[in-house]
Amino acid sequence: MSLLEIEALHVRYGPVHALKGVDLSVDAGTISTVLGANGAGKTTLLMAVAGARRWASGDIRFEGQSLAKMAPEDIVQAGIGLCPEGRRVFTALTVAENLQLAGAIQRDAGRAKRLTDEMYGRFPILAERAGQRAGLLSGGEQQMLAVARALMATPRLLLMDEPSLGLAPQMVDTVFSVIKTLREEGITVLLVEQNVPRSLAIADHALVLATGSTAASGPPSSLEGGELVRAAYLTA
Amino acid sequence: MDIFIQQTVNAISLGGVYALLALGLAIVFSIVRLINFAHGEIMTVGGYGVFAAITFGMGIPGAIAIGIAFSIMAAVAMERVAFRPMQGASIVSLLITSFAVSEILKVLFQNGISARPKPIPMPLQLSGTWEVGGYTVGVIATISIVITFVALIGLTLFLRRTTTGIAMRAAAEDFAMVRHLGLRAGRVVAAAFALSGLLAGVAAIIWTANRGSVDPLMGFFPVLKAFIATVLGGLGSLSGAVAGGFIVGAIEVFSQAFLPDTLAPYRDAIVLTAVILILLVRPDGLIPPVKTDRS
Ligand SMILES: Nc1ncnc2c1ncn2[C@@H]1O[C@H](COP(=O)(O)OP(=O)(O)OP(=O)(O)O)[C@@H](O)[C@H]1O
Ligand SMILES: [Mg+2]
Repeated sequence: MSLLEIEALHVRYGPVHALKGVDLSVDAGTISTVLGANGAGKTTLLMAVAGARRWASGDIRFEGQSLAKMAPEDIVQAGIGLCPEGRRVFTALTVAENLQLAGAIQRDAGRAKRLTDEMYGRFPILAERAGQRAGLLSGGEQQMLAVARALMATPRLLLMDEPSLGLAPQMVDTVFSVIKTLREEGITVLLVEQNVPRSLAIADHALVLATGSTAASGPPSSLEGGELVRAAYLTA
Repeated sequence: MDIFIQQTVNAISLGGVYALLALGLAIVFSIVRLINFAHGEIMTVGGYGVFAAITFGMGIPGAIAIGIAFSIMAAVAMERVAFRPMQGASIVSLLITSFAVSEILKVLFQNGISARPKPIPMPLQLSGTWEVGGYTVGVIATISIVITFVALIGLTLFLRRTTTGIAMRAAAEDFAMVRHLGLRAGRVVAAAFALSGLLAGVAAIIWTANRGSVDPLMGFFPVLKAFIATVLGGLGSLSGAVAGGFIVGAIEVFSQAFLPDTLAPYRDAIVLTAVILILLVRPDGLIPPVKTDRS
Protein backbone atom coordinates (compact mmCIF):
# COMPACT_ATOMS: atom_id res chain seq x y z
CA MET A 1 0.00 0.00 0.00
CA SER A 2 1.28 3.45 -0.92
CA LEU A 3 1.44 6.26 1.64
CA LEU A 4 -0.88 8.46 -0.44
CA GLU A 5 -3.34 7.19 -3.00
CA ILE A 6 -5.27 9.47 -5.30
CA GLU A 7 -7.94 7.69 -7.26
CA ALA A 8 -9.97 8.97 -10.22
CA LEU A 9 -10.12 12.42 -8.70
CA HIS A 10 -12.52 14.98 -10.16
CA VAL A 11 -12.57 18.57 -8.88
CA ARG A 12 -14.83 21.33 -10.17
CA TYR A 13 -15.02 25.04 -9.54
CA GLY A 14 -18.56 25.67 -10.69
CA PRO A 15 -18.40 25.26 -14.46
CA VAL A 16 -14.61 24.78 -14.48
CA HIS A 17 -13.65 21.10 -14.50
CA ALA A 18 -10.20 21.51 -12.94
CA LEU A 19 -9.28 17.83 -12.43
CA LYS A 20 -10.73 15.14 -14.69
CA GLY A 21 -9.99 11.77 -13.16
CA VAL A 22 -6.42 11.98 -11.88
CA ASP A 23 -4.67 8.93 -10.35
CA LEU A 24 -1.46 9.01 -8.35
CA SER A 25 0.26 6.71 -5.86
CA VAL A 26 2.97 8.19 -3.70
CA ASP A 27 5.24 5.65 -2.00
CA ALA A 28 6.69 6.35 1.43
CA GLY A 29 10.18 7.84 1.38
CA THR A 30 9.98 9.12 -2.20
CA ILE A 31 9.74 12.43 -3.99
CA SER A 32 6.85 12.69 -6.44
CA THR A 33 6.62 15.68 -8.68
CA VAL A 34 3.58 17.13 -10.40
CA LEU A 35 4.30 19.09 -13.58
CA GLY A 36 2.15 20.92 -16.08
CA ALA A 37 1.36 24.28 -17.63
CA ASN A 38 -0.28 27.17 -15.83
CA GLY A 39 -3.83 26.25 -14.99
CA ALA A 40 -3.23 22.52 -15.49
CA GLY A 41 -4.61 21.76 -12.03
CA LYS A 42 -1.45 21.19 -9.99
CA THR A 43 -2.40 23.45 -7.10
CA THR A 44 -5.93 22.10 -7.16
CA LEU A 45 -4.56 18.58 -6.71
CA LEU A 46 -2.32 19.58 -3.81
CA MET A 47 -5.00 21.62 -2.08
CA ALA A 48 -7.45 18.74 -2.41
CA VAL A 49 -4.97 16.59 -0.46
CA ALA A 50 -4.60 19.39 2.10
CA GLY A 51 -8.38 19.49 2.62
CA ALA A 52 -8.93 22.94 1.14
CA ARG A 53 -10.82 21.64 -1.90
CA ARG A 54 -13.73 19.22 -1.88
CA TRP A 55 -13.79 16.78 -4.76
CA ALA A 56 -16.78 15.82 -6.88
CA SER A 57 -15.85 12.15 -7.16
CA GLY A 58 -12.94 9.81 -6.64
CA ASP A 59 -10.98 9.56 -3.42
CA ILE A 60 -7.76 10.45 -1.65
CA ARG A 61 -6.41 8.04 0.96
CA PHE A 62 -3.52 8.64 3.34
CA GLU A 63 -2.14 5.55 5.09
CA GLY A 64 -5.27 3.78 3.91
CA GLN A 65 -7.67 6.29 5.44
CA SER A 66 -9.93 8.42 3.22
CA LEU A 67 -9.46 12.17 3.55
CA ALA A 68 -12.89 12.87 2.08
CA LYS A 69 -14.56 13.98 5.31
CA MET A 70 -11.55 15.48 7.02
CA ALA A 71 -11.09 19.20 7.72
CA PRO A 72 -7.74 20.82 6.92
CA GLU A 73 -6.72 20.74 10.59
CA ASP A 74 -7.48 17.00 10.86
CA ILE A 75 -5.35 16.34 7.80
CA VAL A 76 -2.40 18.10 9.43
CA GLN A 77 -3.00 16.04 12.58
CA ALA A 78 -2.99 12.91 10.41
CA GLY A 79 0.55 13.72 9.27
CA ILE A 80 0.36 15.85 6.11
CA GLY A 81 2.16 19.20 6.09
CA LEU A 82 1.64 22.02 3.59
CA CYS A 83 4.08 24.46 2.09
CA PRO A 84 1.59 26.35 -0.06
CA GLU A 85 1.75 28.27 -3.32
CA GLY A 86 2.91 31.81 -2.60
CA ARG A 87 4.43 30.67 0.75
CA ARG A 88 1.72 32.36 2.84
CA VAL A 89 3.91 33.05 5.84
CA PHE A 90 2.20 35.35 8.34
CA THR A 91 3.86 38.61 7.44
CA ALA A 92 2.63 40.54 10.48
CA LEU A 93 4.09 37.92 12.83
CA THR A 94 7.75 37.52 13.66
CA VAL A 95 9.69 34.51 12.41
CA ALA A 96 9.65 33.09 15.94
CA GLU A 97 5.89 33.61 16.22
CA ASN A 98 5.31 31.85 12.90
CA LEU A 99 7.18 28.83 14.27
CA GLN A 100 5.56 29.02 17.71
CA LEU A 101 2.13 28.94 16.09
CA ALA A 102 3.08 25.96 13.93
CA GLY A 103 4.44 24.19 17.01
CA ALA A 104 1.12 24.51 18.81
CA ILE A 105 0.03 21.24 17.23
CA GLN A 106 2.61 19.41 19.36
CA ARG A 107 0.94 18.46 22.64
CA ASP A 108 4.25 18.52 24.43
CA ALA A 109 5.75 22.02 24.82
CA GLY A 110 9.25 20.59 25.28
CA ARG A 111 8.94 18.85 21.95
CA ALA A 112 7.85 22.07 20.23
CA LYS A 113 10.87 23.82 21.72
CA ARG A 114 13.22 21.09 20.49
CA LEU A 115 11.69 21.25 17.03
CA THR A 116 12.11 25.04 16.94
CA ASP A 117 15.80 24.68 17.83
CA GLU A 118 16.11 22.02 15.16
CA MET A 119 14.61 24.42 12.57
CA TYR A 120 17.00 27.16 13.61
CA GLY A 121 19.85 24.67 13.21
CA ARG A 122 18.60 23.61 9.80
CA PHE A 123 17.99 27.18 8.61
CA PRO A 124 20.43 29.43 10.52
CA ILE A 125 19.10 32.52 8.73
CA LEU A 126 15.78 32.02 10.56
CA ALA A 127 17.60 32.06 13.90
CA GLU A 128 19.26 35.32 12.90
CA ARG A 129 15.91 36.81 11.92
CA ALA A 130 13.85 35.25 14.73
CA GLY A 131 12.62 38.57 16.11
CA GLN A 132 11.89 40.14 12.75
CA ARG A 133 8.52 40.33 11.08
CA ALA A 134 8.26 37.65 8.41
CA GLY A 135 7.06 40.27 5.94
CA LEU A 136 10.53 41.78 5.99
CA LEU A 137 12.26 38.56 4.89
CA SER A 138 13.44 38.00 1.32
CA GLY A 139 11.50 35.57 -0.86
CA GLY A 140 14.03 32.81 -0.25
CA GLU A 141 14.00 33.37 3.50
CA GLN A 142 10.21 33.30 3.50
CA GLN A 143 10.37 29.98 1.65
CA MET A 144 12.71 28.58 4.32
CA LEU A 145 10.25 29.78 6.93
CA ALA A 146 7.34 28.17 5.08
CA VAL A 147 9.22 24.86 5.01
CA ALA A 148 10.25 25.11 8.67
CA ARG A 149 6.69 26.02 9.62
CA ALA A 150 5.33 22.94 7.84
CA LEU A 151 7.98 20.72 9.45
CA MET A 152 6.99 21.87 12.97
CA ALA A 153 4.04 19.49 12.67
CA THR A 154 6.49 16.60 12.04
CA PRO A 155 4.59 15.49 8.91
CA ARG A 156 5.18 12.16 7.20
CA LEU A 157 4.06 13.66 3.89
CA LEU A 158 5.01 17.19 2.87
CA LEU A 159 3.07 18.98 0.13
CA MET A 160 5.13 21.67 -1.61
CA ASP A 161 3.70 24.03 -4.23
CA GLU A 162 6.28 25.77 -6.44
CA PRO A 163 8.81 26.33 -3.65
CA SER A 164 11.49 27.62 -6.05
CA LEU A 165 9.25 30.11 -7.85
CA GLY A 166 10.75 33.58 -8.11
CA LEU A 167 13.90 32.75 -6.15
CA ALA A 168 17.50 33.69 -6.97
CA PRO A 169 19.49 30.79 -8.55
CA GLN A 170 21.45 30.18 -5.37
CA MET A 171 18.25 29.96 -3.37
CA VAL A 172 16.80 27.54 -5.91
CA ASP A 173 19.81 25.28 -5.26
CA THR A 174 19.16 25.51 -1.52
CA VAL A 175 15.49 24.63 -1.94
CA PHE A 176 16.20 21.54 -4.01
CA SER A 177 18.91 20.35 -1.65
CA VAL A 178 16.52 20.82 1.28
CA ILE A 179 13.95 18.66 -0.51
CA LYS A 180 16.53 15.90 -1.04
CA THR A 181 17.55 16.08 2.61
CA LEU A 182 13.94 15.67 3.66
CA ARG A 183 13.69 12.45 1.66
CA GLU A 184 16.88 11.17 3.31
CA GLU A 185 15.19 11.84 6.65
CA GLY A 186 12.27 9.70 5.58
CA ILE A 187 9.80 12.47 4.82
CA THR A 188 7.78 11.80 1.68
CA VAL A 189 7.45 14.81 -0.61
CA LEU A 190 4.76 15.67 -3.14
CA LEU A 191 6.28 18.50 -5.14
CA VAL A 192 4.59 20.81 -7.62
CA GLU A 193 7.19 22.63 -9.69
CA GLN A 194 7.67 24.80 -12.76
CA ASN A 195 11.39 24.01 -12.80
CA VAL A 196 11.01 20.82 -14.84
CA PRO A 197 14.64 19.69 -15.22
CA ARG A 198 15.48 20.26 -11.56
CA SER A 199 12.45 18.43 -10.25
CA LEU A 200 12.81 15.52 -12.67
CA ALA A 201 16.44 15.24 -11.53
CA ILE A 202 15.46 14.59 -7.91
CA ALA A 203 12.07 12.93 -8.30
CA ASP A 204 11.31 9.21 -8.04
CA HIS A 205 7.99 9.64 -9.79
CA ALA A 206 6.54 12.30 -12.06
CA LEU A 207 2.95 13.15 -12.97
CA VAL A 208 2.39 15.48 -15.91
CA LEU A 209 -1.00 17.19 -15.97
CA ALA A 210 -2.53 18.84 -19.01
CA THR A 211 -5.76 20.79 -18.48
CA GLY A 212 -6.80 18.58 -15.61
CA SER A 213 -5.98 15.21 -17.15
CA THR A 214 -2.96 12.96 -16.81
CA ALA A 215 -0.60 13.47 -19.78
CA ALA A 216 2.10 11.19 -18.41
CA SER A 217 2.88 9.36 -15.19
CA GLY A 218 5.88 7.26 -14.16
CA PRO A 219 9.50 7.38 -13.07
CA PRO A 220 11.34 10.31 -14.73
CA SER A 221 13.48 7.87 -16.74
CA SER A 222 10.35 6.32 -18.25
CA LEU A 223 9.00 9.61 -19.50
CA GLU A 224 9.74 9.77 -23.23
CA GLY A 225 11.90 12.58 -24.53
CA GLY A 226 8.92 13.98 -26.37
CA GLU A 227 6.80 14.10 -23.27
CA LEU A 228 9.62 15.70 -21.36
CA VAL A 229 9.99 18.37 -24.01
CA ARG A 230 6.28 18.86 -24.04
CA ALA A 231 6.14 19.18 -20.28
CA ALA A 232 9.03 21.61 -20.37
CA TYR A 233 7.48 23.54 -23.21
CA LEU A 234 4.11 23.77 -21.54
CA THR A 235 5.56 25.07 -18.32
CA ALA A 236 8.05 27.46 -19.94
CA MET B 1 -7.06 75.47 32.09
CA ASP B 2 -8.78 73.42 34.76
CA ILE B 3 -11.80 72.92 32.56
CA PHE B 4 -9.59 71.90 29.68
CA ILE B 5 -7.86 69.25 31.81
CA GLN B 6 -11.21 67.97 33.05
CA GLN B 7 -12.56 67.73 29.53
CA THR B 8 -9.41 65.96 28.40
CA VAL B 9 -9.91 63.40 31.16
CA ASN B 10 -13.53 63.00 30.05
CA ALA B 11 -12.45 62.65 26.43
CA ILE B 12 -9.92 59.92 27.23
CA SER B 13 -12.41 58.16 29.46
CA LEU B 14 -15.17 58.19 26.84
CA GLY B 15 -12.73 57.46 24.02
CA GLY B 16 -11.48 54.49 26.03
CA VAL B 17 -14.95 52.95 26.09
CA TYR B 18 -15.27 53.45 22.34
CA ALA B 19 -11.79 51.97 21.89
CA LEU B 20 -12.69 48.84 23.90
CA LEU B 21 -15.89 48.35 21.90
CA ALA B 22 -14.19 49.11 18.59
CA LEU B 23 -11.49 46.57 19.44
CA GLY B 24 -14.08 43.87 19.99
CA LEU B 25 -15.69 44.68 16.65
CA ALA B 26 -12.31 44.72 14.93
CA ILE B 27 -11.12 41.43 16.43
CA VAL B 28 -14.25 39.61 15.28
CA PHE B 29 -14.27 41.31 11.89
CA SER B 30 -10.61 40.63 11.24
CA ILE B 31 -11.12 36.90 11.74
CA VAL B 32 -14.72 36.10 10.78
CA ARG B 33 -15.41 39.00 8.37
CA LEU B 34 -18.52 39.69 10.42
CA ILE B 35 -19.58 43.23 11.25
CA ASN B 36 -21.36 42.33 14.46
CA PHE B 37 -24.24 44.72 14.84
CA ALA B 38 -25.29 42.89 18.02
CA HIS B 39 -22.06 43.85 19.78
CA GLY B 40 -23.99 46.55 21.64
CA GLU B 41 -26.28 43.93 23.15
CA ILE B 42 -23.24 42.00 24.39
CA MET B 43 -22.37 45.15 26.29
CA THR B 44 -25.96 45.55 27.52
CA VAL B 45 -25.94 42.00 28.90
CA GLY B 46 -22.82 42.96 30.85
CA GLY B 47 -24.68 45.99 32.17
CA TYR B 48 -27.50 43.77 33.43
CA GLY B 49 -24.86 41.54 35.00
CA VAL B 50 -23.56 44.53 36.95
CA PHE B 51 -27.14 45.40 37.93
CA ALA B 52 -27.84 41.86 39.14
CA ALA B 53 -24.62 41.63 41.11
CA ILE B 54 -25.17 44.98 42.85
CA THR B 55 -28.86 44.17 43.51
CA PHE B 56 -27.88 40.88 45.12
CA GLY B 57 -25.35 42.73 47.26
CA MET B 58 -22.22 41.28 45.74
CA GLY B 59 -20.29 44.56 45.90
CA ILE B 60 -18.03 46.19 43.35
CA PRO B 61 -15.59 43.29 42.75
CA GLY B 62 -18.53 40.93 42.33
CA ALA B 63 -20.19 43.36 39.92
CA ILE B 64 -17.03 43.60 37.83
CA ALA B 65 -16.62 39.82 37.69
CA ILE B 66 -20.29 39.13 36.91
CA GLY B 67 -20.54 41.94 34.36
CA ILE B 68 -17.54 40.68 32.41
CA ALA B 69 -18.61 37.04 32.72
CA PHE B 70 -22.10 37.87 31.39
CA SER B 71 -20.67 39.67 28.38
CA ILE B 72 -18.25 36.86 27.57
CA MET B 73 -21.03 34.27 27.82
CA ALA B 74 -23.32 36.40 25.66
CA ALA B 75 -20.64 36.75 22.98
CA VAL B 76 -19.72 33.06 22.96
CA ALA B 77 -23.39 31.98 22.94
CA MET B 78 -24.13 34.39 20.10
CA GLU B 79 -21.37 32.84 18.02
CA ARG B 80 -22.59 29.30 18.68
CA VAL B 81 -26.27 29.92 18.15
CA ALA B 82 -26.41 32.61 15.48
CA PHE B 83 -23.16 32.83 13.56
CA ARG B 84 -21.65 29.34 13.49
CA PRO B 85 -24.60 27.90 11.52
CA MET B 86 -24.02 30.71 8.98
CA GLN B 87 -20.45 29.63 8.25
CA GLY B 88 -19.36 30.56 4.76
CA ALA B 89 -22.22 33.02 4.30
CA SER B 90 -21.59 36.36 2.63
CA ILE B 91 -20.62 39.42 4.59
CA VAL B 92 -24.08 40.89 3.92
CA SER B 93 -25.98 37.82 5.19
CA LEU B 94 -23.85 37.87 8.30
CA LEU B 95 -24.52 41.55 8.84
CA ILE B 96 -28.27 41.01 8.48
CA THR B 97 -28.11 38.07 10.89
CA SER B 98 -26.40 40.27 13.42
CA PHE B 99 -29.12 42.92 12.95
CA ALA B 100 -31.72 40.29 13.72
CA VAL B 101 -29.85 39.09 16.80
CA SER B 102 -29.58 42.67 18.00
CA GLU B 103 -33.31 43.30 17.57
CA ILE B 104 -34.31 40.02 19.22
CA LEU B 105 -32.12 40.73 22.24
CA LYS B 106 -33.45 44.27 22.61
CA VAL B 107 -37.02 42.96 22.61
CA LEU B 108 -36.05 40.31 25.16
CA PHE B 109 -34.56 42.96 27.45
CA GLN B 110 -37.62 45.19 27.07
CA ASN B 111 -40.17 42.47 27.73
CA GLY B 112 -38.15 40.18 29.98
CA ILE B 113 -36.56 42.83 32.19
CA SER B 114 -37.94 46.32 31.62
CA ALA B 115 -38.09 48.95 28.91
CA ARG B 116 -37.17 51.54 31.54
CA PRO B 117 -33.68 52.11 32.93
CA LYS B 118 -32.80 50.03 35.97
CA PRO B 119 -30.91 52.20 38.46
CA ILE B 120 -27.64 50.82 39.77
CA PRO B 121 -26.78 52.39 43.12
CA MET B 122 -23.11 53.35 43.07
CA PRO B 123 -21.10 53.90 46.24
CA LEU B 124 -21.00 57.64 46.99
CA GLN B 125 -17.24 57.98 46.99
CA LEU B 126 -17.21 56.99 43.30
CA SER B 127 -19.44 59.79 42.09
CA GLY B 128 -17.33 62.68 43.41
CA THR B 129 -14.13 64.34 42.26
CA TRP B 130 -10.57 64.21 43.50
CA GLU B 131 -7.33 66.06 43.02
CA VAL B 132 -4.79 64.58 40.64
CA GLY B 133 -1.58 66.60 40.20
CA GLY B 134 -3.32 69.76 41.37
CA TYR B 135 -6.33 69.36 39.08
CA THR B 136 -9.85 68.43 40.06
CA VAL B 137 -11.09 65.49 38.02
CA GLY B 138 -13.95 63.00 38.28
CA VAL B 139 -13.24 59.84 40.26
CA ILE B 140 -15.10 57.55 37.86
CA ALA B 141 -13.51 59.17 34.81
CA THR B 142 -10.04 58.61 36.25
CA ILE B 143 -10.76 55.03 37.26
CA SER B 144 -12.26 54.40 33.82
CA ILE B 145 -9.03 55.52 32.19
CA VAL B 146 -6.97 53.26 34.43
CA ILE B 147 -9.24 50.27 33.72
CA THR B 148 -9.15 50.97 29.98
CA PHE B 149 -5.38 51.09 29.88
CA VAL B 150 -5.04 47.97 32.01
CA ALA B 151 -7.36 46.22 29.53
CA LEU B 152 -5.41 47.52 26.54
CA ILE B 153 -2.09 46.43 28.01
CA GLY B 154 -3.54 43.05 28.96
CA LEU B 155 -4.89 42.60 25.44
CA THR B 156 -1.54 43.50 23.90
CA LEU B 157 0.26 40.99 26.12
CA PHE B 158 -2.33 38.34 25.31
CA LEU B 159 -1.99 38.90 21.56
CA ARG B 160 1.82 38.87 21.71
CA ARG B 161 2.61 36.26 24.32
CA THR B 162 0.01 33.51 24.12
CA THR B 163 -0.36 31.00 21.32
CA THR B 164 -4.09 31.74 21.11
CA GLY B 165 -3.29 35.43 20.75
CA ILE B 166 -0.73 34.75 18.03
CA ALA B 167 -3.24 32.47 16.29
CA MET B 168 -5.77 35.29 16.29
CA ARG B 169 -3.31 37.72 14.72
CA ALA B 170 -2.36 35.08 12.15
CA ALA B 171 -6.02 34.31 11.42
CA ALA B 172 -6.66 38.00 10.74
CA GLU B 173 -4.08 37.78 7.97
CA ASP B 174 -4.85 34.32 6.51
CA PHE B 175 -7.37 32.18 8.40
CA ALA B 176 -7.19 29.23 6.00
CA MET B 177 -3.44 28.95 6.51
CA VAL B 178 -3.90 28.80 10.28
CA ARG B 179 -6.05 25.72 9.73
CA HIS B 180 -3.36 24.20 7.51
CA LEU B 181 -1.06 24.36 10.54
CA GLY B 182 -3.45 22.09 12.40
CA LEU B 183 -5.13 24.68 14.62
CA ARG B 184 -8.88 24.26 15.14
CA ALA B 185 -10.81 26.94 13.27
CA GLY B 186 -13.72 26.75 15.73
CA ARG B 187 -11.48 27.45 18.69
CA VAL B 188 -9.89 30.49 17.12
CA VAL B 189 -13.33 31.90 16.29
CA ALA B 190 -14.67 31.14 19.77
CA ALA B 191 -11.63 32.81 21.31
CA ALA B 192 -12.19 35.90 19.16
CA PHE B 193 -15.79 36.17 20.33
CA ALA B 194 -14.86 35.55 23.96
CA LEU B 195 -12.26 38.29 23.76
CA SER B 196 -14.69 40.71 22.14
CA GLY B 197 -17.14 39.86 24.93
CA LEU B 198 -14.53 40.48 27.59
CA LEU B 199 -13.75 43.92 26.16
CA ALA B 200 -17.47 44.74 25.87
CA GLY B 201 -17.87 43.65 29.50
CA VAL B 202 -15.15 46.05 30.62
CA ALA B 203 -16.86 48.78 28.60
CA ALA B 204 -20.19 47.88 30.24
CA ILE B 205 -18.68 48.28 33.70
CA ILE B 206 -17.23 51.70 32.91
CA TRP B 207 -20.46 52.78 31.22
CA THR B 208 -22.78 51.69 34.03
CA ALA B 209 -20.46 53.27 36.61
CA ASN B 210 -20.72 56.56 34.72
CA ARG B 211 -24.46 56.43 34.08
CA GLY B 212 -25.65 54.68 37.21
CA SER B 213 -28.28 52.73 35.30
CA VAL B 214 -28.82 50.10 32.63
CA ASP B 215 -31.53 49.95 29.96
CA PRO B 216 -32.23 47.85 26.85
CA LEU B 217 -30.57 50.39 24.55
CA MET B 218 -27.53 50.91 26.75
CA GLY B 219 -25.06 49.32 24.36
CA PHE B 220 -26.62 50.52 21.16
CA PHE B 221 -25.38 54.12 21.03
CA PRO B 222 -21.79 53.62 22.19
CA VAL B 223 -21.40 50.73 19.76
CA LEU B 224 -22.65 52.99 16.97
CA LYS B 225 -19.77 55.30 17.82
CA ALA B 226 -17.43 52.32 18.00
CA PHE B 227 -18.46 51.36 14.45
CA ILE B 228 -17.48 54.81 13.30
CA ALA B 229 -14.20 54.37 15.18
CA THR B 230 -13.40 51.05 13.47
CA VAL B 231 -14.10 52.47 10.02
CA LEU B 232 -12.04 55.53 10.85
CA GLY B 233 -9.15 53.42 12.10
CA GLY B 234 -9.31 50.95 9.21
CA LEU B 235 -11.85 48.12 9.34
CA GLY B 236 -10.26 45.07 10.95
CA SER B 237 -7.21 46.91 12.25
CA LEU B 238 -6.73 46.68 16.01
CA SER B 239 -4.44 49.65 16.51
CA GLY B 240 -6.73 51.54 14.14
CA ALA B 241 -9.75 50.69 16.32
CA VAL B 242 -8.03 52.08 19.41
CA ALA B 243 -6.91 55.25 17.62
CA GLY B 244 -10.38 55.65 16.10
CA GLY B 245 -12.06 55.18 19.48
CA PHE B 246 -10.02 57.87 21.16
CA ILE B 247 -10.45 60.28 18.24
CA VAL B 248 -14.23 59.85 18.16
CA GLY B 249 -14.36 60.27 21.95
CA ALA B 250 -12.25 63.42 21.80
CA ILE B 251 -14.27 65.01 18.98
CA GLU B 252 -17.48 64.25 20.86
CA VAL B 253 -16.38 65.61 24.24
CA PHE B 254 -14.62 68.70 22.94
CA SER B 255 -17.38 69.65 20.52
CA GLN B 256 -19.85 69.36 23.38
CA ALA B 257 -17.71 71.36 25.78
CA PHE B 258 -16.42 74.14 23.60
CA LEU B 259 -18.94 74.67 20.80
CA PRO B 260 -21.71 77.25 21.30
CA ASP B 261 -25.01 75.83 22.59
CA THR B 262 -26.74 76.58 19.30
CA LEU B 263 -24.61 73.90 17.65
CA ALA B 264 -25.34 71.28 20.32
CA PRO B 265 -28.01 69.43 18.30
CA TYR B 266 -25.45 68.93 15.54
CA ARG B 267 -22.89 67.25 17.73
CA ASP B 268 -23.14 63.81 16.11
CA ALA B 269 -23.23 65.42 12.69
CA ILE B 270 -20.00 67.19 13.56
CA VAL B 271 -18.38 63.91 14.66
CA LEU B 272 -19.46 62.23 11.43
CA THR B 273 -18.32 65.14 9.28
CA ALA B 274 -14.90 65.04 10.89
CA VAL B 275 -14.72 61.30 10.27
CA ILE B 276 -15.78 61.66 6.64
CA LEU B 277 -13.14 64.34 6.12
CA ILE B 278 -10.45 62.04 7.50
CA LEU B 279 -11.70 59.16 5.33
CA LEU B 280 -11.58 61.36 2.24
CA VAL B 281 -7.87 61.70 2.78
CA ARG B 282 -7.34 58.10 3.93
CA PRO B 283 -10.09 55.90 2.43
CA ASP B 284 -8.74 52.68 4.02
CA GLY B 285 -8.73 54.29 7.44
CA LEU B 286 -5.89 55.65 9.53
CA ILE B 287 -4.10 52.31 10.10
CA PRO B 288 -5.31 49.72 7.54
CA PRO B 289 -4.91 46.04 8.54
CA VAL B 290 -2.60 43.46 6.98
CA LYS B 291 -4.82 41.03 5.09
CA THR B 292 -4.21 38.46 2.41
CA ASP B 293 -7.49 37.87 0.63
CA ARG B 294 -8.12 34.32 -0.53
CA SER B 295 -11.10 32.46 -1.85
N1 LIG C 1 -10.86 29.32 -6.77
C1 LIG C 1 -11.06 29.02 -8.07
N2 LIG C 1 -12.22 29.32 -8.65
C2 LIG C 1 -12.45 29.04 -9.96
N3 LIG C 1 -11.56 28.44 -10.76
C3 LIG C 1 -10.37 28.12 -10.22
C4 LIG C 1 -10.06 28.39 -8.87
N4 LIG C 1 -8.81 27.97 -8.61
C5 LIG C 1 -8.37 27.45 -9.77
N5 LIG C 1 -9.29 27.54 -10.74
C6 LIG C 1 -9.17 27.05 -12.12
O1 LIG C 1 -8.84 25.68 -12.07
C7 LIG C 1 -7.87 25.36 -13.03
C8 LIG C 1 -6.64 24.75 -12.34
O2 LIG C 1 -6.03 25.76 -11.53
P1 LIG C 1 -4.75 25.46 -10.62
O3 LIG C 1 -4.53 26.65 -9.77
O4 LIG C 1 -4.92 24.16 -9.95
O5 LIG C 1 -3.61 25.35 -11.70
P2 LIG C 1 -2.04 25.22 -11.52
O6 LIG C 1 -1.64 24.06 -12.33
O7 LIG C 1 -1.67 25.23 -10.11
O8 LIG C 1 -1.52 26.56 -12.23
P3 LIG C 1 -0.24 27.49 -11.90
O9 LIG C 1 0.93 26.85 -12.56
O10 LIG C 1 -0.62 28.78 -12.56
O11 LIG C 1 -0.12 27.60 -10.43
C9 LIG C 1 -7.57 26.64 -13.77
O12 LIG C 1 -8.36 26.64 -14.94
C10 LIG C 1 -8.02 27.72 -12.84
O13 LIG C 1 -8.45 28.84 -13.56
MG1 LIG D 1 -0.55 26.49 -8.95
